[in-house]
Amino acid sequence: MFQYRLKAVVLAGGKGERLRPLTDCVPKSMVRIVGKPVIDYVLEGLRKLPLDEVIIVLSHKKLAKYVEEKWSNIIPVTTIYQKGEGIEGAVLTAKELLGKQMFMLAYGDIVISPKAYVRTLETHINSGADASILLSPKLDVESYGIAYVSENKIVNVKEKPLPEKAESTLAIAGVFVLPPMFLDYVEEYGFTDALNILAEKITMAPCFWEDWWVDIGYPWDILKANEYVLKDLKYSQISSNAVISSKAVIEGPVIIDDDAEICHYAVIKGPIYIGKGSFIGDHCLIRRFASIEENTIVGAFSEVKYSSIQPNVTISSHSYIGDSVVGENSVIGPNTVTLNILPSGVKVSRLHPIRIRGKMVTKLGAIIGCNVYIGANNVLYAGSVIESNTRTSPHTIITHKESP
Amino acid sequence: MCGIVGVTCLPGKLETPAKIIRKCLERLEYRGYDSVGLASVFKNRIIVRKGKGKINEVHRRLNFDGVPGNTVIGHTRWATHGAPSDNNAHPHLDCGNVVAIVHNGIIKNYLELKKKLILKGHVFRSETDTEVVAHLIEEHLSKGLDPYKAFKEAIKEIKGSYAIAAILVSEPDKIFFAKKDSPLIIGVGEGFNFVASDIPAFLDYTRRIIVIRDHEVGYITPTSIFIENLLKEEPVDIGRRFRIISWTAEMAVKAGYPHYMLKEIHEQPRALRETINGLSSEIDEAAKMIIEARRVFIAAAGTSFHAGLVLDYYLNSIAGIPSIPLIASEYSKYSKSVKPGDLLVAISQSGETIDTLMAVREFKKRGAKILAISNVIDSAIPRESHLTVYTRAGPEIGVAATKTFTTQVVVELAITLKIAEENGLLSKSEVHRLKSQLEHVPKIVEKTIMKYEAYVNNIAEIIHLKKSMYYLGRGLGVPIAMEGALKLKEIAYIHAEAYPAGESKHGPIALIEKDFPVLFVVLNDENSENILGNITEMKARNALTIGLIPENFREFEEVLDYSVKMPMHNYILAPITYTPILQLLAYYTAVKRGYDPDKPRNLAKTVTVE
Repeated sequence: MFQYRLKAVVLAGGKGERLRPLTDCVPKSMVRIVGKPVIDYVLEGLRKLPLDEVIIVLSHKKLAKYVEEKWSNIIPVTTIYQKGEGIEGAVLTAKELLGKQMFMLAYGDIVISPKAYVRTLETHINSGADASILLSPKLDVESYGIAYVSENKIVNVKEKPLPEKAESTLAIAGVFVLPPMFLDYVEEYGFTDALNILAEKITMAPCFWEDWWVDIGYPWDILKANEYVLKDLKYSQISSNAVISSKAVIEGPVIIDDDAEICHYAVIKGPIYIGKGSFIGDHCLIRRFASIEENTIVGAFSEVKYSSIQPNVTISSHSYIGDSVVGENSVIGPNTVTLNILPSGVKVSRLHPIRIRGKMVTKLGAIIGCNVYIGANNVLYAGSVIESNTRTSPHTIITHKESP
Repeated sequence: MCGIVGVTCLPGKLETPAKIIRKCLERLEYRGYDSVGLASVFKNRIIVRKGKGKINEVHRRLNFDGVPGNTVIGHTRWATHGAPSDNNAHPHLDCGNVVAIVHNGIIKNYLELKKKLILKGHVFRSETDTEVVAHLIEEHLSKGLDPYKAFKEAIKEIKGSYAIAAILVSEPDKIFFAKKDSPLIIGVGEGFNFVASDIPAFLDYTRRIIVIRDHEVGYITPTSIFIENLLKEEPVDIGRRFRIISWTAEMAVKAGYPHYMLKEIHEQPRALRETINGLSSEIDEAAKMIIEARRVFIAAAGTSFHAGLVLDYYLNSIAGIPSIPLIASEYSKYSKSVKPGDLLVAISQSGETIDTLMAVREFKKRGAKILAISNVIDSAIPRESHLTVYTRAGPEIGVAATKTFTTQVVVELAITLKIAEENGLLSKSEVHRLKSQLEHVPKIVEKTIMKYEAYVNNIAEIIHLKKSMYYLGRGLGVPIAMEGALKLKEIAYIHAEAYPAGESKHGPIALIEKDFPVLFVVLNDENSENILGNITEMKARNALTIGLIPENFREFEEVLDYSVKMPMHNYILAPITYTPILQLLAYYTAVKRGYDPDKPRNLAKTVTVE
């Protein structure tokens, strides 16, 4: 007599334009955050729910292959290639598979605690509302969907309002429970207006999220996500297969994965992550929210802080990488330095000044694409972007942008 | 708000159903806790045990667990119609003791129905709106309708909001239910079924549920469930409505909020509106008491004391009446001079605060009149007072007071405006204008919270690493600053000190060093120029400055590191509009520090020991 039908759709398609050049060779949902692709954070949340089917709308073969290999034994996943453009196209791709039932909708580029997914469904069921959306305060209203709540109901939704016009700062955190009619409205009116029609016609309940979450939109969002995930580390996890010199200094919570190697006199100051098979040379300094993904080499005497080094990267000796993102398969020549303080007055979406010794500064290093080769003795200015497949000569000074 | 629950089971399927209902009621206590009761059908009669007080107190008196029967309903009450008393506690019975009812919600047309029923000879035993339902069912039964039909007809006659559960002697294994605008959920078991106001109530017994929707009625038996839509008169296909809760649902009771405190901060627009709408003739009587008093003392503790300081400001600077605010536990210093003709205004959310109660007793003994402001109808302080004005904030569960503070201020402002009108300090049109501004306050608070939640969260990101903080204000800004500092101490465990900004130079500024956080409460009043000077002097010492400022105070914005721009309104409304921002700041700071804001260490919601 039991019928329990709830399907989920994960929106993991699209090109990830804002995340370029990192998305040149991997889809957005495959970018690594502390040892896992972004999609894992979404699916780890959804696996806690009683779901019949998890439909993943995607555009990349790599992602389809990964999900099928890693997840199909754990949850009932179906992958489907996105048909139309934009979020509407993505949602409507799943329309037929969803049928006429209430469903969950999750953005495929959100890094958040699994509890958020549980809380949204739980709130939805208990409130008896017709739809529910997870909301959380965010300063940069101009880059999110923003909901206004009155009397514990969502009254309206605005897509990326101008900060001076925004009436609310409660951002849509990418987890929804929606009725099937939503799909019809999306078809006719588009995504945001469909939500507004729901808000008018039925009861749409807010579910509040007070803790951190990151929407991976821009390259620097990766750094923020690393920071939050690593901040939550309560204790160290060091694989018994890791090779760590007795002369290395390891402080604070760290994750050191299988077969990683840490050489003599390296100083590791957590919270940090060192991925599978990575190599940290003699006298390196790895500190403060650095996340070094698998099979990466950091040469002797180099420093890495508050940066994301994607898999299979080589950072040669005597380099300084700070507040930067390095894409897959790139090589950084010896003595390379990233500068990391943006000139005052430069405003970057979702990047906020921090107070250091009484001064407000905005920190951002370099954004380096995939398969890049940086020659020896390069200096990369703060905020510089190196396109994928670029090669630079020794002694180059990169002030703004470098393409192949 | 009240909580209801019911269970019906096959004999022996559940051990002592009454005890189970008592446990369920404990889970529902957040919905109200001024009286409690349960009823069961046993051997052709209805057994009722109910009384005023918290569940454990009443249980000790009446032994709920000893009630026999396999069909039991229970209720935990938060008084709206009729004070908390043994008689007004649910369940309610009809004249012939064949129907028992529990109800959550408000029946709007109950007076009209009650009159009709009295004319037909029904005898009412309580002052509640709920009791009419029992008599209505009895009335329809006497016309020869079968029990379920009679129940349905009764539901059709009532207007308002309700979640109702009923048991009848003639149907010993059924619980009838109906829902509109108040929550009701069925818990589906094997050989037993539950109805309750929320899921956590029965989560220890079953995880299979059906959420009842508006206008649905029906009944449960130990082995079956029937639901139909009252408007369409057609049965609901319950097969499609089952849900499984596969996790702990502690969250569920907080209506989508991670903590009661955040819920209660967000509930303020509603609490304020209900308090404003509920203002009645008591305000006029309270104003009269204050005008006629020889001297006015104000006693309270904690957050209520800050509300007391707001009243002190209002009386002195708007109503032209001097007053003496005192911290309740220090009453003995003042009470020796108290004489007949004096008045004590006692402010207590719970109405049970022991320090304030002791002050009330002492002042009363010496001949003073007592005016109470409280959120809990007929609690100890109101009972011992000559007059009570109630706030309508609803139950407050978070230990740190939020919505009860802002609603206390609404009541104080209403009294002050009445006095100022009476003694001519404000013209009729000025009073009218201020009253209409007060009407808009709930919306202002809602908009301010919506607009600044993210910004405040961002400030909390910086504050949460600090060890110490100052909150400064002038005039009416001082009690607001004090309340902000208290919130930060209470839940985020950061040392916070509030004092009038002018005092800085006389000592505290010595502690200022680079990045020491100082928060300024800047009002649109005569003090703004002086406070700008205070900000500059803090800035000159490299303090981290945060300000709550009126939105067009540009020169402040330029000086401050962080400014929260409050909408322009008369400054006397500031305790209501500014405080929610400070509550949010404390809340997000506590969360970032990893503390549970609902359960601050070493603190209790109601302090009942001296």
